[in-house]
Amino acid sequence: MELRHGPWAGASPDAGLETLRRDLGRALASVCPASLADRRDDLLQVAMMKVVELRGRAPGRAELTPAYLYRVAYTTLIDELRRMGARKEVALEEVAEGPQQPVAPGDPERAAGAAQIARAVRDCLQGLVQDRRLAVTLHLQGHTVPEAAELLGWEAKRTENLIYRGLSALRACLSSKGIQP
Amino acid sequence: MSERRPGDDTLEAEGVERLRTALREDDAPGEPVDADLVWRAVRQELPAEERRAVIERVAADPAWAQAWRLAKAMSQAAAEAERGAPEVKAEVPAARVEAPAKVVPLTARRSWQGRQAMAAMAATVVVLVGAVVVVRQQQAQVDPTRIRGGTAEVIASRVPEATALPRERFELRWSGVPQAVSWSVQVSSEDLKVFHRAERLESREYTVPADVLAELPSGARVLWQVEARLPDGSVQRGSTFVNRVR
Repeated sequence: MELRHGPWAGASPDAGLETLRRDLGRALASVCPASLADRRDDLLQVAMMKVVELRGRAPGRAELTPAYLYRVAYTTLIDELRRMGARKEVALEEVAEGPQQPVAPGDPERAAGAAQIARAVRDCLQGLVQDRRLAVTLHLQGHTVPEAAELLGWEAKRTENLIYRGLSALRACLSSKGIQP
Repeated sequence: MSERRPGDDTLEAEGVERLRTALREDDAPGEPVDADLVWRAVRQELPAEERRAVIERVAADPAWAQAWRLAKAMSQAAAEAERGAPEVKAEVPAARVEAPAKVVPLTARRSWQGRQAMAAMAATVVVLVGAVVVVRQQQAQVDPTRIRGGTAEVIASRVPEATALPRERFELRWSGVPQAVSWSVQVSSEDLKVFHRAERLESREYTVPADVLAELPSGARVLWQVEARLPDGSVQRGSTFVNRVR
């Protein structure tokens, strides 16, 4: 018999769920664009409902580790983000056809600027040699050098050099597109 | 190659941060994401070669990049939650583990026997604690008509739980949080899709429009949750209640 308790499912039966809710909220706040700010609660709620439903169905709760529940919450969020993206595309088509005004949460100008820079970054990354591209991509995703090295399966020193050279090339490429990061 | 660290002068830390912000704020559509593949790559459950293939897609596609960031954040949070949830194995009482076959002085043997007794007691305590936890978890089984979702218990449904309400008059009522200045109601279908939301309600009741419920079959479960907006602007969220549509 293997039991899991402690803070995850300890004093309060739902302590683990509250922790998950808090972590989900933080993850959404740090990952999602401002344009989705007004949908974060919806996303959070959908993911939590999925987890609660799963938990209620599970015959043996001991098997539902935090890693498993966090993964369920994550995949639910990805599904929901995909649905929202699809709905947004449909809404844009409707706007193009009629006079209805789109509701654009956040700062549209800022969003447009971010989109332009992000597109340029992706273009420039494609111009880098593969190893540099991979290393810089992880760096831009917020990974440290040791994390990136581990994920890529390379030596830390080599990864660090690839990031250094890759960032240099990226800067040059962005400058050629009129973007000064 | 110099020994300068990444970002020294190729791209300053602030510049990298600006690029990260731009990537995060970019909500351009991308290709459909294989969420499971991304998760396994982030968790290093894939071989390095396959991880690199996923990172290639992250470099090229905004949706994959967003999924990667989300997987990274959630994976790290899961790891922290795991650390806060130590495994307690109660498979074999320590007293039944065979002692190494070696000769020890009498005093040491007494000490060893004492440790065995302590270990047996510890094992008993672990089993008892485990049993209590299991019982408490069973007692806390989720009521199928009431899903605990919020931090507050004070918002209570005034609609008898699990009862069927007429589609034309799907009236939700609740009580609690006397200091609330307004209310929001979120309505979800059985497949957990949020299909309706009403904001800035001034009273503790709300009738879901019939056309919103038109596509639901008779007997379908409708999940609803109320949020109270407090004078300081914060939001207090209640449990999720379940009723059926008739």
